Amino acid sequence: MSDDTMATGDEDVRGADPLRELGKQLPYDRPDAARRDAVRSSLLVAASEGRPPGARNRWLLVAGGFAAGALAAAAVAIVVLRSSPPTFVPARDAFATIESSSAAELDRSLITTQTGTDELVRVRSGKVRLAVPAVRAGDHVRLQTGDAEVEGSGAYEVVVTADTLASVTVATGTASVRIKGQQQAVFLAAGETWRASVVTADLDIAPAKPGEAAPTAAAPTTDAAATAPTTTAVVTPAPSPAPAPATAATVTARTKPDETPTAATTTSPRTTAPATVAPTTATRPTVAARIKPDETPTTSPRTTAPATTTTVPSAALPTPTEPQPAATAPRASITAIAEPTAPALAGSSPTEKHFRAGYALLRASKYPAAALELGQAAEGDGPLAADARYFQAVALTKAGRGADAERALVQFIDRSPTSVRRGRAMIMLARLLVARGESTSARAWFEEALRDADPSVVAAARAGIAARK
Amino acid sequence: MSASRPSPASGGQIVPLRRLDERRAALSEISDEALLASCGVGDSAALGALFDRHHEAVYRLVSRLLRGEPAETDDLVQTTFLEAWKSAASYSGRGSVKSFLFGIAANTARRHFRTTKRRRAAYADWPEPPPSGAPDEAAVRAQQVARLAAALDELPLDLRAAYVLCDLEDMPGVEAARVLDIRAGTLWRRLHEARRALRDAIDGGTR
Repeated sequence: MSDDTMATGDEDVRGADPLRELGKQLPYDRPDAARRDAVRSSLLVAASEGRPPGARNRWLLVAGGFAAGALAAAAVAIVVLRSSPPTFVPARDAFATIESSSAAELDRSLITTQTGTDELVRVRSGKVRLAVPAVRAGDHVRLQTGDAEVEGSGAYEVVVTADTLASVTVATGTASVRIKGQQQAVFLAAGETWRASVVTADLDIAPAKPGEAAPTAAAPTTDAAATAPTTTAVVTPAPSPAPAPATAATVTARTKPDETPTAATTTSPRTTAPATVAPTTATRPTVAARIKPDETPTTSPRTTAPATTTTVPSAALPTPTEPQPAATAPRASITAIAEPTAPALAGSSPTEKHFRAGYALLRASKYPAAALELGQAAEGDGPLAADARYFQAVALTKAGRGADAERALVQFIDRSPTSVRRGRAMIMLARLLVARGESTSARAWFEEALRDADPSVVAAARAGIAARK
Repeated sequence: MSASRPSPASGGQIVPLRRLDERRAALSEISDEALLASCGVGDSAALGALFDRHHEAVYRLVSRLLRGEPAETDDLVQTTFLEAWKSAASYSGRGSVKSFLFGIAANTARRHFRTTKRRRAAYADWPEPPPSGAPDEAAVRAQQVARLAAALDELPLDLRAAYVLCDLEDMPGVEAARVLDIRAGTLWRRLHEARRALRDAIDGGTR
């Protein structure tokens, strides 16, 4: 083919050409099976974590950059404030600079008031950082959640779980936190943190009684249970009485910012991905896949320690095939998790602490507070965070917050393709949908749950489908 | 949660995705577009299936664009599929999924090429051409391939990408232009320059 005719169409670049024929003999990199499988496995692990291999490092860089920027802004602000009269930012489209975690749900709106402009940042979930400059009198920047409002100047970070404010940390400037129903606001200065008081939030929940049914995860059992829109099908027997909620260490309303979960430094998922992940187990590429359905949640393999992996007895979780009468079942033994020893807590990550506290609250029937704690644990990564998402959904369901529970379940199913609790989550979600009258969607989830490896989940799915016929 | 999946609170329908890996027998019946759509809503099994289908082509393209170490090629291939996973929802349906992957791979290779700023001793590990003057036709052929390889490595990345996509991957010119995000006329010009340079290199060696 002549190059002069190339411009006439595609066929001109596809004709026979010795150069092309020669080029096709060029060798190229053909990966062997081991390389291909390694790449495939690490790819699936990275995809299940929802971030590329270098994202963790990039996030650290972003966080570092944000911190450096905040410090620089604070330094500049100090210099300016000391050397000149205050100058205010004129009214404009938006005041705040917002950074948010990838999973955050938020929107921003501007409202013109008689005195100026109100910028409302509505956050439903996730971690959000705001950098708010000085605004002129009458203008406001307010961050709102379902239960609270935060207004501040400077830089501050909020964590919102299931439309509920979980924490506020002020980096620079000040912020005030107003909880609905409370008269007084909490004022925070730079370096201070406010956390939702799980004890206060749970005052309207009746205390658990020793003979009362312990809250359990979704455990499909009978046909009747499958038709019920709740998750109280199974109660696990245990000999010990109801434990005291272990919340003392986590409910301080105003504390210094505690440590941030330190991300494990990995260069590529391939270096940490288990070599046992075979291509045929694409949906379960992480270590969590090797946990049996009735085993307790454990920490990530990178952070596993004996003190933390044995805190929850396996009997504390439901055995779907052995339903027990709720009235006769004593509360499960959860002493180890409800009252962790001081050394154990000291060595735990924030995710583990929140998970333990949340799980203990869940077992103690303090569902709103459990949802808060578990929501904070769910902010992390790894199998424990996945478990936290699941049990947060359980807590929300038990608390009667069906819409939030549905959202949490869908997030869990989406973000935890390798979790062994996926099938149970589908059953829970299907039952919630049944309760909402979404029979078609519910049936689809029941059918999806039929593919689960757990026979009890499959049985519940069948029962659910049969009940819909 | 994917934006394409309605929020439960909004009252929309929530339907599950099929776990494709458990139906490997049926995978061949699922189109690339359906797999990519599943990726867009978070089905990692679909990503695995997509990888199984196209990893060899992506390896071939990446290794011909950048003669890197195997581990480097692995990283680039993984990055390509991960980017596809993240941007699957933005797939518009214009062009094939393979072209979509090739576009990501070409961009990934370009970024890598620009950031590393180093050229390797490309093709150094390729078999040495036999001594000149050998009467064997196969030996002459091997010598030409080696010269072509060396000349290809000397080409600017833009010209190399045009040649690799159009001549080695048999991609239609319009689609290759879309993959490289350039106009068709630009592609033709690059392809013309690439071919001329390669022919000169081969002919020069045989003179």
